[in-house]
Amino acid sequence: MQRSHLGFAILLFLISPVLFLLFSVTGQFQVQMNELLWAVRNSFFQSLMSSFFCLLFGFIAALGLIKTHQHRPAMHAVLVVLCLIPQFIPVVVVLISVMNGLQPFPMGLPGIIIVHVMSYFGMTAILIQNQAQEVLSQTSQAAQVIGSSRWIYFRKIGFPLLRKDLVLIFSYLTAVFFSSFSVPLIVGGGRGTTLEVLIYEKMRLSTDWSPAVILSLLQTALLFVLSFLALKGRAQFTKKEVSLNWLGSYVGVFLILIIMAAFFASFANAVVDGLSQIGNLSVYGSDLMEAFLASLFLAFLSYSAVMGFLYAFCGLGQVPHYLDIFLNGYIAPSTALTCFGLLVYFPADFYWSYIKIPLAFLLLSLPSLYRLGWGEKLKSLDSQIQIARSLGASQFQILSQITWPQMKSHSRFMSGLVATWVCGDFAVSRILSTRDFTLGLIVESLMTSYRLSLASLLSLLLILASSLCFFIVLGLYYVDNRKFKN
Amino acid sequence: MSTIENLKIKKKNFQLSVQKWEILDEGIHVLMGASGSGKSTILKAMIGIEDVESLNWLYKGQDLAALPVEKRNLGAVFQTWDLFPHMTAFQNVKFAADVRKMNSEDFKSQWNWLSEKLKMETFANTLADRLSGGEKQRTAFARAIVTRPRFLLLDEPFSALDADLRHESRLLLRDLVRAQKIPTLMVTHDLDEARLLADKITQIDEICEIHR
Repeated sequence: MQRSHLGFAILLFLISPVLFLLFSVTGQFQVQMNELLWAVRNSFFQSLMSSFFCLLFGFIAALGLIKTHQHRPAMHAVLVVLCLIPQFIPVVVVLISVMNGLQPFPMGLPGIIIVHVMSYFGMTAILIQNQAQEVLSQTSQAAQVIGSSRWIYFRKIGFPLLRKDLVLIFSYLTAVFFSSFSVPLIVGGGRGTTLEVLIYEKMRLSTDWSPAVILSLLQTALLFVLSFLALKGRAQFTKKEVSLNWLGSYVGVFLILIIMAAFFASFANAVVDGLSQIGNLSVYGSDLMEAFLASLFLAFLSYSAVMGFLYAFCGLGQVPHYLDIFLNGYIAPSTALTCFGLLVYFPADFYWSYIKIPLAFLLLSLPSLYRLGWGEKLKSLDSQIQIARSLGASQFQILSQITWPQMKSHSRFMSGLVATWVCGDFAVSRILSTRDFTLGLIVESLMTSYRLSLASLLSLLLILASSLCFFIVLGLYYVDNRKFKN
Repeated sequence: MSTIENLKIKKKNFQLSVQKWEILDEGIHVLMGASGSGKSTILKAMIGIEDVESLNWLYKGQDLAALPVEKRNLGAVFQTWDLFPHMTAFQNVKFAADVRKMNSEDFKSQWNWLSEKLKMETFANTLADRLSGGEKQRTAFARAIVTRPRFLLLDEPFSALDADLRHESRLLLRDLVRAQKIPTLMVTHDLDEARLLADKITQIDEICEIHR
């Protein structure tokens, strides 16, 4: 297949759920405006507030990361891991911990915002620290030598220089929270229905899917606008290894430690409560083992699907400009729309879940993987590809001998991340499957029927499955890297 | 002589055109000009990795520009050398021989000659990533020359080397292309380099019109 055709095929694949919906569903395309405006308002409110608080807590936590960055590297590494934990563990674990820790738990928009902030403040802190390191290094030493205080530096130099980056991070978070599905599904309740959940409800409760189609397309359009806002112009600075220690603060360190200690304590408490009800698990019998294996099998299928796709993507060699823009702009594909598109296209039979769920994760995670560094790495091979072409190498020779050997371990790691997410998933599976056949689905059913303690206990199995995936992939990644180094 | 005709490149804020330019088909022809004057763009257009509106490159009765990149049979070395970092120095050179389906006997004799000339024996089995600047450059030359391309195109290949090594490498290159009789086009902004190596020097503003 020619490069231009392959690029176009990839683009078509990524937007295929939208196309399925556009061409498959017919009927009266009408939506109730009151309902729509209410859901849009909720979506904007929760995403803007979540982003604001994430940025606020993230900024304070970033001061802690900055403080420890060069002078206490071991503590810095621990803090980074703590910050990343809520991003990598299954979202259901975050939900259990937060819901158990705050009682009575404020269902609705406040609940959504709290869970979002818990999940993303750490990652936001890391983003802010990286940007500060890049943007402020040129001026901080000069200001320090002149005798500026930390506060004056922040007010007159630091904030004005960082403002653009903070706005970008805010816009990025807003786009991600706007399309959040699993959190509003569990803690949104009746008062916190967002656009994503409304689409899901339209689809589940009605035989007429046309309103859901309209809502899905509207949601996608809004997401594109938010995504492009998040990408608009960023100033370029030269990165220098300059210590920003004087700008950091131990308040940030304490914030990270306190939040994460509360997080772990709350989860542990929920698990201990669950142990008292361990006898109730007997009703599941062998279903639990089957669910454990089904989760792992789905993770394996998703891993293979993503690896296969990334291999095909490498066949492009140089990424066409339009595809690069699309993948950078398509920050957060709508979960509801993607799953909905697959529901329309594939048969409803249960066994198709094993095709639909990995496909959904492939479609949902590709833009993130591309932006998580995979795309940059591929683009960094451009000059090598040009040289190989000028030497006379065919497209397949370039793929098999130049691009894939250098992209393989990175692709393996990215596919492994997706597999880990699949292991802990309940939201995508809830839409695409007719049965509670994975651990995530069983845990979610327990949570929605207010059996939080039992759900906590079972979530340990979920963590085990996800960890298993993660460590297998990490192992393979290191083996690959060793081969490369030797 | 080979002739570049009707070269037109249009970018967002930049238009470049060359009506006619004759290039030596033996020895070293140097294209000189200041940084940002479009030298590298012309070179990339000749290689086939730059989008052009039009270009004819007539060489021995054939229009090379009409051929796809891989069929032009060119050798190229850029400022950054662009070695394949996951391959050893030898594998980098062998890759070029393999894709051009070079006869194994022929490759063997070429490799022996090149590795001796370029003193590559000591680092032939080292990953490209771990080579020093000078070693990387010698590997890039060997990779570009091993298949005896019909033309060698060089884009400031010495600029990333320190002064001592640069002089030595220039002389090495001159001996190499003379011995292999490969016509070479090199772009540079360094007058000393041009004087040392060139059989003919062309200033870019003699042949090229640029509108910004």
